[in-house]
Amino acid sequence: MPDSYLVIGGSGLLGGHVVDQLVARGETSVASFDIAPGSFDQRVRTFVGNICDRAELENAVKESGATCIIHTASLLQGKSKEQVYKVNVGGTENVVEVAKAQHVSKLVYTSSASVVFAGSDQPNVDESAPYPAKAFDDYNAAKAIAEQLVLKTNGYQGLSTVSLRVAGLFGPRDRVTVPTIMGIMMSKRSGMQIGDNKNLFDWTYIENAAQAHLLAADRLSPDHAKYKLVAGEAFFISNGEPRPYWDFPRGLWKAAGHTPKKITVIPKGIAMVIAVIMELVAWIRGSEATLTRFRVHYICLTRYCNIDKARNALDYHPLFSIDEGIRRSAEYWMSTHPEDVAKLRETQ
Amino acid sequence: MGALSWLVLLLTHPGEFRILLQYWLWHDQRDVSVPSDHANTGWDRDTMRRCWHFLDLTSRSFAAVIKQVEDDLARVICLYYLVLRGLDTIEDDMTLPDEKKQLLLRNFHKHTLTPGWTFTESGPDEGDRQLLVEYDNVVEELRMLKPSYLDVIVDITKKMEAGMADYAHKAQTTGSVYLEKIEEYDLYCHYVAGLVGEGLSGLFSASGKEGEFLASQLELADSMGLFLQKTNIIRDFREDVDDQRYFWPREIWGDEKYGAAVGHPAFQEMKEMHLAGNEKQAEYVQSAMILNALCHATDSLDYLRLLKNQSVFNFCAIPQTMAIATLHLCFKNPDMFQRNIKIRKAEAAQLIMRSKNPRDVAYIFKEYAQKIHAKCTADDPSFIKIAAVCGRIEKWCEDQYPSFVNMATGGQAQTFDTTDVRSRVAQILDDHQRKAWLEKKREELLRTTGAATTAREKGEEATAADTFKFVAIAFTVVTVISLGSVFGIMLLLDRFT
Repeated sequence: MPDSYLVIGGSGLLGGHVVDQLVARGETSVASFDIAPGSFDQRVRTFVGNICDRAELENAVKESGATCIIHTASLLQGKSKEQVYKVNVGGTENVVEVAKAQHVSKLVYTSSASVVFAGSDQPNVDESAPYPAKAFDDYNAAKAIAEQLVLKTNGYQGLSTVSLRVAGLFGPRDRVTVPTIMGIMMSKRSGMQIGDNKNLFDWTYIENAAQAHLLAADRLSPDHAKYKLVAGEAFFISNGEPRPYWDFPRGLWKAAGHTPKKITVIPKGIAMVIAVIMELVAWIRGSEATLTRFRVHYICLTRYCNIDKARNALDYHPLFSIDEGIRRSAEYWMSTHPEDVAKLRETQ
Repeated sequence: MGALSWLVLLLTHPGEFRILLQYWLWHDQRDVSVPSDHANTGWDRDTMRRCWHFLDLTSRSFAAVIKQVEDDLARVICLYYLVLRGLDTIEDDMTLPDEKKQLLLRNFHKHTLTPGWTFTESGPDEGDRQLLVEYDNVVEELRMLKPSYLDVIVDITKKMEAGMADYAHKAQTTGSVYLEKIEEYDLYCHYVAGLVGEGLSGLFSASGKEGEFLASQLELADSMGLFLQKTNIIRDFREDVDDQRYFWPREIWGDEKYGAAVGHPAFQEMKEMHLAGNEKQAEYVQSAMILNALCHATDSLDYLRLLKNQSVFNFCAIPQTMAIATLHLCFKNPDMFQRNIKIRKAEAAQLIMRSKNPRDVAYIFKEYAQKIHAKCTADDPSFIKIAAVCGRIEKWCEDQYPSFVNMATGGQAQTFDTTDVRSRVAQILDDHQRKAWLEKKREELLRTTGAATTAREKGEEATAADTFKFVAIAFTVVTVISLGSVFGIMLLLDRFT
């Protein structure tokens, strides 16, 4: 019996690509649940609702006859602690409870590579790393709690669960990473480099991340040869091609047709001093600083993961290189930002 | 170096002076003529002395590296090298007509074992023509090698002569001077260098100094050779082009994207790269060539990790670290298109002194990868790929020799960097291993008492009380038996006397 899929957060970046890939591989029963209505292929059933509302969620699961839930919905950094916990922990709790009640057999949860992040360098981290005693921020804390909740549920009355810790998602339809990086280019700040750019960083092209979700879902069938390696496990997912921090934005700018003429390197120490001043000025003026000490610290960190476990258990081998991902992302951005592109061509 | 140049160096580059002085003071060279070493070096035979002489002639620095390999392996590698050198001299010789060259090359594995075989028809300009004129010395020495060595040498000679003959035939009959595809470039490098690596692995295994499995690590051995060969091919651009020898594949240098990046058409001829006005486009091609070579770096590191003999390790590792240093020297260096460039003597000496274990070698690779990356700018069409390949080298280091482990120094045990999350996991593992080791030791100790073994065979936990019980019983049994036999013997003696 083929699975019936319900993608929670199907209108989001990752959820949308998961839906696309499910439809593309010929799944006949695919549904989306999201607070925002999205535009989908006509074969996809759409449910609009809030995961914080258990009744709405339960209705969608019942109506769609879901046997496999892929839970990609999440509230990103920058919201209040209360909101972040409500959606990311409370919402996930609802998903788990509804899955139990409705006898769903598979639950794939989208976690974050930062659940083990403690604020310092993290080269080549793998799944043996423990959760930090004190989470780096509310978002990471909430994601870690929710992940443990999902993994703990594995094995409950035929429900199998898995958690995918994705790192640095980007791609077409991205509303965070790519536009932010392109924004730096448009405001002519692309020639500035903070730090020595020796710190490696990890990214994941969105279609690779979506593919990992499908692979994980398939391996949650108890008769799958790799079932035991996957059920109840957490996996780091990235492109497996760490590279120095600044190379990623430069790659995107270049793909959009812009190469900084000259690079001004600002050592980390000096950048910290500038950040303090900018924070002070912003505090006095009551505005938001463009450069904070947190940003400087973050930019100069080494952070990448070891995806061998996913390679072995999920047979996850990224289909698209970062190079290709950058090309596709820039193309999408250019097609959706014609004015910016025109402005860029003028100034070049 | 004369006294004056030492003095100049001291004044201009004191740091380099120090390194070279250290190198000169601490780095011993093997003297192959020492009588106590004759069984290994064969210096007591005229034929072998001649072979050592030819080795010194072809390359002094390389000869020194070969001589450092332990025991008889240095002599075997010397002979292996001379065979390949002989083959190479014939292949390079432009004065030989194709038919003659084909026959010579394709039969070289037979000639090389024919007593008295020499070849006197090399062109007068061939640097190593004298080696072939006196080749009977090499034949004589080869025939003395044990079969396991000789088999490897003959096998590689057969493969290499076929490859070289194919290339020579193609060049001399079709008039095509360039390698077209990257695959062709890889195959060419395989014949002239990858096979050398394959043969060396075979010799290391045959010597018993390395595991038997090493001989079958063909892909890694090939990468070792390719990494060196490609580095030389890149560095020697100008010399080769001036001599009309073209090894760079057209798929790279003739790619229009490097022209498009500066608004020019693709290069039509290789020599265009050193002409004025083409600097930027040539630089992009150079980056692409270096990127191609860097793709073999992690394979090389994998290979080096498999070695266990120190002298074999040094022999393999030193050329590799020199190669990555050379790639760094060439990267974005316009001089490479104009003249022969070389890493500085002090840098080379430092690399030789540091290339002593796989961890240090990996960190040397990482350092140079970071330096190469730092020189790379976003306008370069290979920019993203270079970042990826440099990142791969760095990740290799973290996979195999993670940075949170501070190496043991001065009698201190290794320590873990407490700020790194991996330390906590490693600490748990470490404790676990230590406990397991202690447990094993305890069991071994118990086993030596013999009694404990019996107890374990019954599937019981050997406690101290059990051990005591067994010892007591065993003691009683032994006492009873000995007393019994003494009594029996006395009884017998009594009866028969």
